[in-house]
Amino acid sequence: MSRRLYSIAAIFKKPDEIMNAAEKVSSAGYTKFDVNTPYPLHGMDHAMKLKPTNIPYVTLIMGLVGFTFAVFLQWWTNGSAMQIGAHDLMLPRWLERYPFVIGGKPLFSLPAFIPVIFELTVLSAALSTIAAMLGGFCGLPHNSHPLHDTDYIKACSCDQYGIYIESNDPNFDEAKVEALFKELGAFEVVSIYRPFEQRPGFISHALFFGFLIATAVGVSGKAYFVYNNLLYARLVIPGYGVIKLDDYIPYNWLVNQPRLDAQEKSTFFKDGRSMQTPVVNTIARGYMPYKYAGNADAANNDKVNPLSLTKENIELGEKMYKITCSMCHGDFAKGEGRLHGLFPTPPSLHSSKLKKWSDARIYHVIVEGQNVMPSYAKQLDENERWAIIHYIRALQRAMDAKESDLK
Amino acid sequence: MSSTIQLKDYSKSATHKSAKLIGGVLMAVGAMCVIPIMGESIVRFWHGYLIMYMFLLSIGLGALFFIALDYLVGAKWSVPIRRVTEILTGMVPAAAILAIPILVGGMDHLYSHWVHASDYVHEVKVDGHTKTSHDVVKDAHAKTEHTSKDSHAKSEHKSDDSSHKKEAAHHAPDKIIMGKTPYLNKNFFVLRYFIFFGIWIAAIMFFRKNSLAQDHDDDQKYTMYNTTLSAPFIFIFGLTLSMAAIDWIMSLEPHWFSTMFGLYYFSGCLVAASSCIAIYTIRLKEGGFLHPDMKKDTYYSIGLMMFAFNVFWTYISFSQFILIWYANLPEETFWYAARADKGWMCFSLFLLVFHFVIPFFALLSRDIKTRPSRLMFMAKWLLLAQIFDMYWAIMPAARLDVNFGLLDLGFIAFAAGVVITVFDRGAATTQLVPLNDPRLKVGLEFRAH
Repeated sequence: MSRRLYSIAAIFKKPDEIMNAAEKVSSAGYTKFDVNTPYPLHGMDHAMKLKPTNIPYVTLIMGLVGFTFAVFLQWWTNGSAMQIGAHDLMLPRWLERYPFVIGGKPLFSLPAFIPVIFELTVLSAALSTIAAMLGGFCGLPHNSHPLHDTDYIKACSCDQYGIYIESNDPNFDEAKVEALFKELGAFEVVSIYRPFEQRPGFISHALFFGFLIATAVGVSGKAYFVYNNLLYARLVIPGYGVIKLDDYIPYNWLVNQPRLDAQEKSTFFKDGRSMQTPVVNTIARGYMPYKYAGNADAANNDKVNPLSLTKENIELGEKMYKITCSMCHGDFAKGEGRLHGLFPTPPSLHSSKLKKWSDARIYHVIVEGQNVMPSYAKQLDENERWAIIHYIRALQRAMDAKESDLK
Repeated sequence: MSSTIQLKDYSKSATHKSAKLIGGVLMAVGAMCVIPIMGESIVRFWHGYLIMYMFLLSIGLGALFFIALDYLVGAKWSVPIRRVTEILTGMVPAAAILAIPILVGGMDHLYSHWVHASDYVHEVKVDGHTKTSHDVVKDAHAKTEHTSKDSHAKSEHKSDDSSHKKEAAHHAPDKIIMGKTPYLNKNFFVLRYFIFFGIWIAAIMFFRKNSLAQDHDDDQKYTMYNTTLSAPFIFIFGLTLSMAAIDWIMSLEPHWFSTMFGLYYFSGCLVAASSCIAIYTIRLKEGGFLHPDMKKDTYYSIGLMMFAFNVFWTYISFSQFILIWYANLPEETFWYAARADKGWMCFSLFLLVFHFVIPFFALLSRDIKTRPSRLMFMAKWLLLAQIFDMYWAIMPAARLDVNFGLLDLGFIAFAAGVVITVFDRGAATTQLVPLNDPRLKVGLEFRAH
């Protein structure tokens, strides 16, 4: 298998020589050639007769596209004064506009839009410049170059100056090019071959790309026909009327169900409000009113702790006691809390008065507070309050244990 | 390195003679346009004068900034044209002279809001006992209200004392202006004029003296001196320029305030100075007075500066506008409201197009920055834009309609005459290339790509 010639290259020792070589080669009418130097040489683009790059035009055009898009986007979403609903234009709901008045400014207020216009202009220009550079200049789809890993390019990236003419140049003739380089005083003339005979690999196989495209078209087409409610929205034909295509809708579009948005007028209720006030005496879940409010004696007569005495409940009580009560009452309920001295010292919960109190009476204090102690009804739900009482009872018994408890 | 090349002598050239003549003629024409009609509206005249003065100052200050900046960052590309910039800093002393008429005669007409306010700060004796200035103002207000209710005939019978109070009421500064009098008063204003111009002119002299001394004894220490000075100077420059902009322009409407106003004027300075540098670099280079090795890449760099600082000006102006416009606070918006009234709205939009849109697209291409004739055209365009910008910033303070006319054309002609004359005088007495600058060779080899 014969190797394919990629180019003929020449190596020079001095920058003046390479400059001269580049000038001669370009004057000889070669177009597909390039120069490799270890550092940029000023004036080289002139010697090579390089045309200015077209990338700035990409930047300019894409900048203007970004500018136009930003103006249109903001005009469409907020700036347009026409109050046409999306349905009138047969557009899906996500294209509806949100004409909000912000800060008393007009709907289309250009100064407020300029920062977005600026950002989108720069973003569009910058990204497309990079894309154009990678695609058009760096030749992105190719991930290697025939010069890679040749002695020629190693010399040129170190301390020598190289020039090569590609074999697909219209004027290319092996013998002529070699003679030209010799004539220019090249230190060395080398032929560079492609690394191996490139066979069309699987990735570049037309069939494979066809398969990829067919899959993409198939999947997106199926998704378009199945999911796109644009197709199934009602069809407005001027002069004819509305054709309802609802019967053909493959899905029951949840997004289009009848509903009332915030502040929207209701046609169902008499007062026109979409949000009705609850019926009198309605109690929200978990907000049962306290039955002994303001009546401590009645609470003391209620002897029942509705929460069963289990290990889990005592552990819950311990946890909530330490979080909520212990900073004042102390870890052992002796009134020795961490805030001792900063507030009036709370009484010990081991007093005989406390021991005599019913569970509901202690519950009363937690809910309503007592003296400087505020209500903890907001911090603790009902179960937690009863669990704390179980834990206090356990503390009381632990502080005053009888002999029988040890058995 | 001794100078091996022979430079053309500017002082013996035809350019010098014609510039001398043109400068003089333009100044005379300007004065002839202005003087016959200055009596029509003295307020209008002084605002026009201030526009011209601020414009000329902006060229000088921008050039001074470029000198300091180039030394500070060790710029090489600008060394071949540094003398042009140095000569343009001569606009600062010229502006210092042009400011004197304002200090002597114009302040009452320009800064009438606050120029007499400080008279009320001192304690004054009224009705035998001491009252503070605020009381006097309050009394005066009460008295005016009282008199306005009465008939005119009655007011003629007022005693001397009340007429004094009426006088006070006429200029009665409000609380806001009274609060600003520690800064905004005539004495301190004049003192600041001396301080600012003292600092700037001293710096200019220092830079120029060292730069010129290097031509004679070829010593690199002068570059070091200037670099060392430029670091602290650029900081002081920022402060003084901001305060000068606040003094001369923002205090025309002392109720208004913008923390970025100094930056706004600064951006205009850079546009004006880079345009002026472009004009004179092209003129001298085409006339053969600059270094023959200088390439068009230097034009490209100057064009780049013009482009960049013009965008910077837009950025700063728009930032100042959008913050005030969006917050919509009456104490700030009235400044822009005055510039959105009837005729002024058209002028504001015109300024946007003239100062930004057209120069932006015109200066965008690389081509225009390397072609002397086109770059010269854009530089003149931007100088005119800077005059319009000053007009836009200053003239609405007089609360007059848009009235761009003979008076302003006269001042523009006068300003052009001053620039030409100052530059011509500077160029005739200076060697136009710093041949012994250590960075000159690298600067000449500069390529913009």
